[in-house]
Amino acid sequence: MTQIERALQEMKKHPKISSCLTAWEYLPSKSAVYEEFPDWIEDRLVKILSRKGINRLYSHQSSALQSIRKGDNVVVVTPTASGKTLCYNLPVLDSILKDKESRAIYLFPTKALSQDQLTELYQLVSDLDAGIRTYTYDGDTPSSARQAIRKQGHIVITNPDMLHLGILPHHTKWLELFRNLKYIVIDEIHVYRGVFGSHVANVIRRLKRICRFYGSSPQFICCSATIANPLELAQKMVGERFVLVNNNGAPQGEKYFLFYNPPVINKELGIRKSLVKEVARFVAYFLNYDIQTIIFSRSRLTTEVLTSYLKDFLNKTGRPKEIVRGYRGGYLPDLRREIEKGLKSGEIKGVVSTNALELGIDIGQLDACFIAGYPGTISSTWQQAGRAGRRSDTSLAMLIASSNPLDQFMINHPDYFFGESPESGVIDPDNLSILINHIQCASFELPFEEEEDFGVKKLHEILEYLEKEGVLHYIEKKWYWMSETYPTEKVSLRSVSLENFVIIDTTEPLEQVIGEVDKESVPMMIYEGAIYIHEGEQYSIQKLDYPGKRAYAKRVKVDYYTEAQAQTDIKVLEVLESSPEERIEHSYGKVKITTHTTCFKKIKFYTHENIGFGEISLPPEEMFTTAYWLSLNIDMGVIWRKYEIETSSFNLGSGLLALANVLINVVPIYVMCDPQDIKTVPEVRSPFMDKPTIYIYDNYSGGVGFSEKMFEIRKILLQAALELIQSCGCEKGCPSCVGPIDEVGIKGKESALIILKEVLD
Amino acid sequence: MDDIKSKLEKIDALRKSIERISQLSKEKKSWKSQNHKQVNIEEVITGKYFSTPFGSSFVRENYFYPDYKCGEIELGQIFRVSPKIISHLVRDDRFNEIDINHTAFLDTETTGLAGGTGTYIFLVGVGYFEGNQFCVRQYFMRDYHEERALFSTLNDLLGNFKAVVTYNGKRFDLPLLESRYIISGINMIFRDSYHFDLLYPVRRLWKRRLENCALSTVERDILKIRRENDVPGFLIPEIYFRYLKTKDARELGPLFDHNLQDILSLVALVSKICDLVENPLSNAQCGIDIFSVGRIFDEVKNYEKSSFYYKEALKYNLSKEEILDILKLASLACKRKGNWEEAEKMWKEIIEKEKEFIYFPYEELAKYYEHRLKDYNQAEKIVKEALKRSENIHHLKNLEYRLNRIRSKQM
Repeated sequence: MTQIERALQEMKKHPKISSCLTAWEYLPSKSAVYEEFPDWIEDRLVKILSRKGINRLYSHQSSALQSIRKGDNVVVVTPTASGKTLCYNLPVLDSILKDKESRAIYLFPTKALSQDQLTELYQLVSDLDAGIRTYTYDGDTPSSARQAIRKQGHIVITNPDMLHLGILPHHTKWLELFRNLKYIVIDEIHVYRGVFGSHVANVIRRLKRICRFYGSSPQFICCSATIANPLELAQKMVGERFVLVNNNGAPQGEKYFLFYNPPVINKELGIRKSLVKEVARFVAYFLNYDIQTIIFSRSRLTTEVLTSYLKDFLNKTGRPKEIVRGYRGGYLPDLRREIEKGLKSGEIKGVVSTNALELGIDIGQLDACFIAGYPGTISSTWQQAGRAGRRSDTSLAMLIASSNPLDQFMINHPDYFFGESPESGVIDPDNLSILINHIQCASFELPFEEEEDFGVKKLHEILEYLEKEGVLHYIEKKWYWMSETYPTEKVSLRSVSLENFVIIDTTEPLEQVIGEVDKESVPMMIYEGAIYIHEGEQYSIQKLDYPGKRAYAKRVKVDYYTEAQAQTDIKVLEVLESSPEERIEHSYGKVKITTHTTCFKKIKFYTHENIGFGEISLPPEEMFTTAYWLSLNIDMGVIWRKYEIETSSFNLGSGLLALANVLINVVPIYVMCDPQDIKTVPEVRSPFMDKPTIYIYDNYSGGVGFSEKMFEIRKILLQAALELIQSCGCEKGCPSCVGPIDEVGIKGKESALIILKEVLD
Repeated sequence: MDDIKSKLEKIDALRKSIERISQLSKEKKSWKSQNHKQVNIEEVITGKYFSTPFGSSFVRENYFYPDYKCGEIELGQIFRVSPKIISHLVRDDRFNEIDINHTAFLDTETTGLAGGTGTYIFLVGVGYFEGNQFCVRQYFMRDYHEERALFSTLNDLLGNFKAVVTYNGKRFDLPLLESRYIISGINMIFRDSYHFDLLYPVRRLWKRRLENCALSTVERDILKIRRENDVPGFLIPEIYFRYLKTKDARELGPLFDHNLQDILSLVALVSKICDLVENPLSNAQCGIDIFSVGRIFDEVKNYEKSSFYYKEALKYNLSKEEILDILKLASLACKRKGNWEEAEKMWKEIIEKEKEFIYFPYEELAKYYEHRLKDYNQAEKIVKEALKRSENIHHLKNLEYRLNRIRSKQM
């Protein structure tokens, strides 16, 4: 019996625990399916792999190789740790061994992943000892090294942002690379969804255009986590046909997947035991069995609080604190490397992480994984669970619910989780607002020609529009860039800025940077008075120098942590169009979204009681964007009399919230975006419309055109919403339709139906 | 006709849609103003056409006699410059055999300073000595589609030269030229020529006393050239864009002249720089210039000469800061050539001259007494004095460490 099984058996004996388990899923082990190396692979490569103990290929690796050999673009979809990277490293290295001039580009969504990949690739390359040069090229690359990378790098590892800002606008410096480019690898392609994905798809269009100019036509190799539509996503991202490889041949040990719902401690108020404390208890228990564990938490704050709790626990039991570490964005790269290494070597027994470790950073495979709170999507949950699971031994994944309604739904409906397919990755490369930006960037890179194909129907009209605007100049059948500005600088691929604030520890006379925080998180994490927890140590933020992007902190020892309170308001600035109907009025226009963090709570460790408040004096964050909204023109009195009194099944607030939730599920399909790209605000009585109103806004500064589209297809959206609710098998509401009952209330589903029927009549 | 109408309507609809989406509120630039008169370039500028396989290219030529004066300097003075000085400044021995007659003086005008593949070069000026005259050829791109023709004719000329002189060409003109050549699909012929970028010696020689190192500033303050009716550099892209839109060449004259003057200044500047470095005592305008020449010798570890010039510089009327700076470098040069006594004198002088505490001379003296003279009592004394005066935590740590070591040696 393995340690895990022993621990589980012991745990099962406690009725208090077993009564809270809502799922006990057993996923049997799977043995490996092997195939021989194809004979065309260079012997040198086979030799160094066999020295690493790789004598055969898994079936999916072999399929990928065959398709790539045939010249197909390939998208590989297999679980974490199934040897995905070999699917591209093998053909790429093979092609360079066969032709010293061949080049490849690897794209990763984050710098950390690029770094990780470089380490792995570097190992292979130095074993080969064939003069193959691999480099990362990103914002951290020193300028002294850049020239060598441009001229000599066989494999350039970078990210879409750098491609967009640093490489494509300077393509002449990358002559050697573009002339000889054989492969473009896009790993973690599922990350490129929604607006971000639509931007990246356009960066790929530009990349392909530059390749055409230099006479190369590279093949694409993409890898994805399990999503519903990997093939479709890859084809849309690249604009070419792909072959799907998903015949996973990697072995898997057996795995237990458990769902745990913390017990109710206050029946009257329905309060459950704290998620953080429950997780800490479980992890402590498994640490006693010497089981290497990863804990995923949803926020940076929880990550640090959990780390502190676990370190306390170790302290009390007389074990070294260093065997549990935190891990999150904001730790400096060296610290992250150290933690990754400790995990691989086994020195670190537990790591508490945000989703920063969800993607393929190599930390080896761990024994147990605790997911503290539902990560929001089925796809992410499986990704995180995949971090535990050695190839032969038993492993454990455990989802522990918070009291959040979505968590409560999932934990109580394990069948839904295990039966439903994961989410789709949706992108719209032809979104006009995104497209027009990238057509400008592309024009900067090379003039457009009359007959050119950018994979866009409206290309000609957009070029003529830009000509009229005076940005492009048309002569002899070409459009040339006619501006001093640098268009890429104004286009950011991600909604979050890449600007970071640094946190400086001033406890010692020798000041030291201990971490960084992106601009968006400043009002939530490093306001003056905040307790910033770093690696379990507490720091009090003494001073925030906003223009200087610095926060000064002093190490403290207090028994509480802080949590900021944010409030979001929506204000209509201008109605661009509206369509009043008898019972409903649809509009869309410009709005201002104001998010203001005004105060923070001090929360005591362990008891989690509120022990005080503090004020935050930061200016409100404003975002100007566009929104679509619908207002109900129905006489509520009539509705109430009709439903509330007779059947007592109607509640306006629940109905609006429920309908807003349905729309969040429906809209992405029709406007082709990610659910994260839009946000809703239901108001029972909107101050602007003076009626019950639901706002849905583009969650991007300036808007990206979703609102206009929603307005255009308003009828279809409402019809689709109605059908979705009617066809959903749940009784009173679930995340697939109106949202969990705990969130929308028991009357939510019924009320939303009533509203829809009234307005669609 | 209908076809065009529907096309325009389509674009209008698109424009509306784009504006609504991106909420363009910026003022619309008026494009192609109707009442502009088209004025061809040859009506404004005397030039000729060079024909190439890729079309023709417009070129203006101007000739100057060697006694033509650029500020205080005659163009022909450059023939008296010793090539050794240039190779010393560039640290490239190939310049020892440089022949001014095989040297091109090059400057470009571009559609922006940002660089990148969307920045175009629309005017390339090349100056060179030919026979008894200095010739400046200016290659102009009348519209974007003439780019290949321009670079093709330019190649014919540049093939004659072994060396090129620019101002900030290392970072700007040459990489941009290379990039434009690649995009035009033409092999850049003089990529391997050697390069004398005057920005670097200018920085080393005059940075301390110039407002900035822009060529126009150097012209004004060093070469004493006065430009008449000059176009400020930042307006150049705008003027060119306006010409592209209106095809009215009348604004281009001053732009050609601006580029021409830049090239003439390059020739004068070579003489000015080399004269100063070769003979600072008679050519310097002030003590700081001599000090700067000293630093150039410092960089190549010629401490004999550098310390000589530092001492010469100190004879001039200088501010206290300047004196302290020179003393510091002079003391280090003395130390490096082994003249310790003199270095010691200078360190003491620095301490004497500056009322505020400076760490540097104390540290040097302490090192000298401890390691060189092995006079631990003197060393201890100077470290103690520094400890008394310093407030910086790093320095205090270092000083304490040093003091402990000295004390252990005393025993």
